[in-house]
Amino acid sequence: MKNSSMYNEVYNDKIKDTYKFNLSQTPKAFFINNPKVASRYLCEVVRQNTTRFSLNLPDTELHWYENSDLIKDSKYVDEIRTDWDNIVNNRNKKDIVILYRDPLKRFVSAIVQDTMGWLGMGQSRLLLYPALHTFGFTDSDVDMLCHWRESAHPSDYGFVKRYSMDKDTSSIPLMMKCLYKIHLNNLLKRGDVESSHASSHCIPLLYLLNSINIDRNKIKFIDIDETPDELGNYLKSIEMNVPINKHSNSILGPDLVYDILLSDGDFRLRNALTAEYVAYNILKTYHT
Amino acid sequence: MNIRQEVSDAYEMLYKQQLNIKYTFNFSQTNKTFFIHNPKVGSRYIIQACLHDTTRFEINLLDKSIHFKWTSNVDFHSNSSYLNELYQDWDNIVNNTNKKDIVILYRDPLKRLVSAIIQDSLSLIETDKLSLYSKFESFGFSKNDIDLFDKWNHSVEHVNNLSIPLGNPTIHEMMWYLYKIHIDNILKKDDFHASHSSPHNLPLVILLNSINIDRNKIKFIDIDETPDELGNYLKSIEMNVPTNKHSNNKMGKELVYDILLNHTDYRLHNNLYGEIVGYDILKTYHTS
Repeated sequence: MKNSSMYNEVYNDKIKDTYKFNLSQTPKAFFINNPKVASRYLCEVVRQNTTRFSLNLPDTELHWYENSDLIKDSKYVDEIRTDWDNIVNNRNKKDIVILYRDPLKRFVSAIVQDTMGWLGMGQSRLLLYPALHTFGFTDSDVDMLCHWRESAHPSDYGFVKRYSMDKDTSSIPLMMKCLYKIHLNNLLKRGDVESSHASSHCIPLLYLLNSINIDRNKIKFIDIDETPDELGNYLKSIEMNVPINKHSNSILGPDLVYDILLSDGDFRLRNALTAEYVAYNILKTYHT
Repeated sequence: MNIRQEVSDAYEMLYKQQLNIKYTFNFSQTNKTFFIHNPKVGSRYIIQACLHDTTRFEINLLDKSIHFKWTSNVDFHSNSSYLNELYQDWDNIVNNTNKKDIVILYRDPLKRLVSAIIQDSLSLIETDKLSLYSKFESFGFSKNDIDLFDKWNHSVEHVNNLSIPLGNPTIHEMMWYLYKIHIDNILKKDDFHASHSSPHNLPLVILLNSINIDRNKIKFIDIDETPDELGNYLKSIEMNVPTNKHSNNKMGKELVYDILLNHTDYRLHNNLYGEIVGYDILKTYHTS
């Protein structure tokens, strides 16, 4: 009896969780995704900011998750709730589009984004100089990195392109590699992966699909890393706005992150991604 | 080589090197039944039921061809008739010509983790004698205390007889420290997947989504549920029903729950996250 009540206490206090999703809608489609799974691209498609919800699966009631940029009871959000009710009650008429992607590619992209985000915060500068000094960089080097980071505003969707690193002519890639390494070490050894941009996506999706009574054949699954561009082609087919910018982080140094993971990664990378890979592979079987 | 190609090559290398995950299962068979389980999921009980030692296999589910590979087992000849029948049964399952019952054992991941911590810590006492004294001395225990502890540990040979003496607070306290060291190691420093709490439920979910099998033909048994479904099933097929359930109940589970509740952080949640979802999905397969 004592063990049973202690079990409940540990379960409720430490294990029990809610599952988070970004939900978006247009007159013809209902999208389910998450950060680092084409979320900025979808914002451009639906011309609305991200709307994020949590669910206490297997319960399917939607709970508003903090979002400072959208009004909780706007018409757009009301329609998301109506669409969701229709999906749960199996009377949905819109296409249901689920976006997913390879967990390692998403993880690398999240490292890039989290590091760039950290670098952009004013208060980070206090730590940036001493952190890079320990790797042998001078104040001038760090000034250059800050200047590079400030040359465009992150909310500008074109910023990624202006941030590409010129590998041959500057120490910026070397400094970025050090910062990626610090962030990777924090994330794999000290920080909470679930609080980063690499929080679980495929696992919550798998749980969601096993919690709602829905014919999986009615769902359009799109692996956003696959070519040809299935998402773009789908948007064209329903005559929707197709953003020209895919907001890829591919020129911001994922090669550096891969290099670090290959040389310095250990079992922690595998442990952090195993569950996501299992779920990804199952989603792939649903898809294909 | 352009940057995209470089990133793609690095992805392939990293995936093969660190993320090409193989799944391990214990398989056992009798004339009437094929059992799929894992350590800390009725494994010793099944050994007694089948009257054969554990046979452990590795399956590479990701390459889409189901094959299994013998993993080391010192007590078994890899070409015994018992094993040949296991291979035959597996082929029949994969080809949907199986006539035996398929029984899948699963359990709540938190209960399994607690049991694994107890088992791993007890093994540590045996295998890491050299550092036992220095460890306990660093926590303020005297040589006398440690001698007493060692004597207690040697007083019986089998775990079922090795209950922590309630009248001896020192042994209780020493076990608490050992569990704490092991929990800290497993959650912060060591490879969770290499312990007795390596994933079980999620690999089962991917297995069931990889083989072409009617789930209604499978008997799922949650080994923690009462009444004792496994014992009742064995009786129903007139099999040997072990009288001893090898529970670790007497070895201080409440100490482990106490540590998990008061001395752990998000890492406990993150390590069990996928397994909890896998468990809930198996529960829906079981009960629907």
